Amino acid sequence: MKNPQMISRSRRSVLKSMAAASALMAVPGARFAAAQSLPTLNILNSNTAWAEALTSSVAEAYEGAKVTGESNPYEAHFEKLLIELSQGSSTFDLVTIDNLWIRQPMENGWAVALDDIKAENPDLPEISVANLAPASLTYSEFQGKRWGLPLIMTTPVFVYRKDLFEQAGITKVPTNWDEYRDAAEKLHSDEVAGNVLLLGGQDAHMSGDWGSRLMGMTKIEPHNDGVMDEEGNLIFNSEGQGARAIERLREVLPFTPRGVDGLDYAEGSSLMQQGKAAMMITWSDVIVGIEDGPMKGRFGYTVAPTEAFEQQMVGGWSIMVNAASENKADAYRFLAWMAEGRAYELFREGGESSLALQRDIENPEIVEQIPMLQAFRDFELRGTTPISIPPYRLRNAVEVQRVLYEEILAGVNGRKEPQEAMVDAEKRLKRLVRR
Amino acid sequence: MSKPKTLRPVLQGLGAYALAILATLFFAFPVFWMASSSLKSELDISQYPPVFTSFEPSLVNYAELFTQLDALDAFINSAVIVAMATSLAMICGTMAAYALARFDMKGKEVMAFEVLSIRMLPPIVSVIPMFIIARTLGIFDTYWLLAAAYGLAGLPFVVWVMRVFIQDIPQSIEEAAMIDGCSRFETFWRVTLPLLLPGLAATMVIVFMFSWNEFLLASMLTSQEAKTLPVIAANAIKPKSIAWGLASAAGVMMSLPVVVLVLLMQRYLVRGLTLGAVKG
Repeated sequence: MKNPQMISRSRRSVLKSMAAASALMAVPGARFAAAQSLPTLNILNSNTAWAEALTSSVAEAYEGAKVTGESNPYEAHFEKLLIELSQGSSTFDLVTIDNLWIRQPMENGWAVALDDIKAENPDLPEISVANLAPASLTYSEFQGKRWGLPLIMTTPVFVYRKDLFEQAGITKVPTNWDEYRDAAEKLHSDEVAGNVLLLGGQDAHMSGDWGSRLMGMTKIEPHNDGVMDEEGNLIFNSEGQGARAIERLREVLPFTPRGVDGLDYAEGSSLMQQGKAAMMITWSDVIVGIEDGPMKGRFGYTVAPTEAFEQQMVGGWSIMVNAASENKADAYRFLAWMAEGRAYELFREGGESSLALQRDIENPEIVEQIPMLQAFRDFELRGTTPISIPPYRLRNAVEVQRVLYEEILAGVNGRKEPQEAMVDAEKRLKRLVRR
Repeated sequence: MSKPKTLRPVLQGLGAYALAILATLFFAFPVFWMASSSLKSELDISQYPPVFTSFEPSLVNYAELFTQLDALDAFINSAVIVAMATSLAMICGTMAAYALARFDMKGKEVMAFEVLSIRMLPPIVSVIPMFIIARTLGIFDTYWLLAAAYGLAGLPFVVWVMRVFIQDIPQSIEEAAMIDGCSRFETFWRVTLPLLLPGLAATMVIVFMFSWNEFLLASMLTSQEAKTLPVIAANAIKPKSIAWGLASAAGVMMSLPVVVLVLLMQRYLVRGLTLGAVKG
């Protein structure tokens, strides 16, 4: 027969053991619970140096939320952004976005203005953008509200081989397209091309090579982008400047690599990296990696040459809050923390060279570490006016860019005369432009 | 006078071998280039003239693949999803093909055409509807979604190819088995299926390869949990530059399972790919 006291003692000891075990488990559990209570911010991300830093070092430095992200190649990023945002999906709380695409989510109500989030949650901190380069802020301002923050600031950069310039006796770095053409002719040989043209990619050709030439042709008024004015009128060939920009490309075609008129960003950079070309105009964020090849240290960087006016595009990437996010206030807090500046320093430390933090751009030590930054410094020396990338104000900027690309390419490779190509582009775009 | 006659076949043989070697080199060179680039530093990759052997091999690109791009998770995801999809397509497709080949059904040609019509849509057309369905069902970014999508995409191919293979097997063999007491399913399982092995192997390899290399759906219908290898590999192409070493390492990693599968199935593949080519 069982002793009831034994049973009761046994029960008591079991209960005590359970309590002790629970207490032991509660300590790490409490920590775990604390970690679990942090909100998670999921970012639709790119796959560049800054993007990798955003979900690694920046995420680690931020204590207010667990920051995760999904990296995507350029084209897939745009497609995914369209599908996710247009369907009102809350998978992503924040989205990173090429400034060329930025109006689409703003005007379609897929993104939410930071000012609106603040208005709904007055306890949220103010976001100060005083630390960031003014030219980088334009894109995320719309209808008097702030819609996001810049991540990086980019511009077309003139990359050239200092050693080849010296060998060819070129003492002055070209600052206009006549000098650029003469240098390309002088530098061109069977072994090393005088210059690389980026005719092979929609963005590289239209926004890069043609756009960089277009910008200096006519005086561009504030708030215009060289392709359209504020009212949405097409102005890219108002004085024949669009056709002239095509002619500028055609005159350096003979000095491109043998057998290849045009390449895309990646291939053009690779050719420069391998020492097979002497000059190239390309966006500053493309140059990452160019110094990793055998020509390390032989490149010079400056702002792109111009025609008559010192004007050049300034683009970049921004970050904004998804209107369907369930964590808008937390996303806002994260952006408020980013604006303080540490996140941007971490981008630089992660290998990014197209910087948006004003104190980094102005710091001579950092310019020494990242030679490409000289191009941004030269804006001041040359008195270059920053122009927004065309046609970013449109809801269908990518579609418009494609039409321009097709017509410019037809003009460059001789299927159409430059003026004819521009007239055709105007006709097609009048039917296409959506604001 | 007899010498040229004896020399001719030797010369012809040598010529054939030389051609075969040239063709092999032509097709093998890109593979060699990819494999060697995966072991090179960025500096060695960008050397001109290219360095073929005189470089120090390094596994840095593979290390980056696993640390930066989480390739192991993606590899597991790919393996599970593609195994599920291939099994689904092969099982359902072969049974459907058997029905279409052997049974007299009203409107079976229309049915076969309808099955094939799935393949007539460009994949991009189905992305948004599938995205909406996935979000509604709560299966976005899961194995189930991609497995179903790939399974469905592979199904028409299996049905149409296996139908031809089944039609090539004399019906009298099945009838003999049924006279001996086998049920219809037993006949299919014990008699028809073993005879179909070469065709099954060839079809399976192709369905596997379609699913293994698919990018668009994998990119649009997954986020972080079910990302597959092609999506990870595409990340080696930076927005405006290419990490050649990393891309090559990803290429090697993506090719290996297909190569292994083809080698394993080689015995059946040659027969399978030529079976039914000549109707006796």
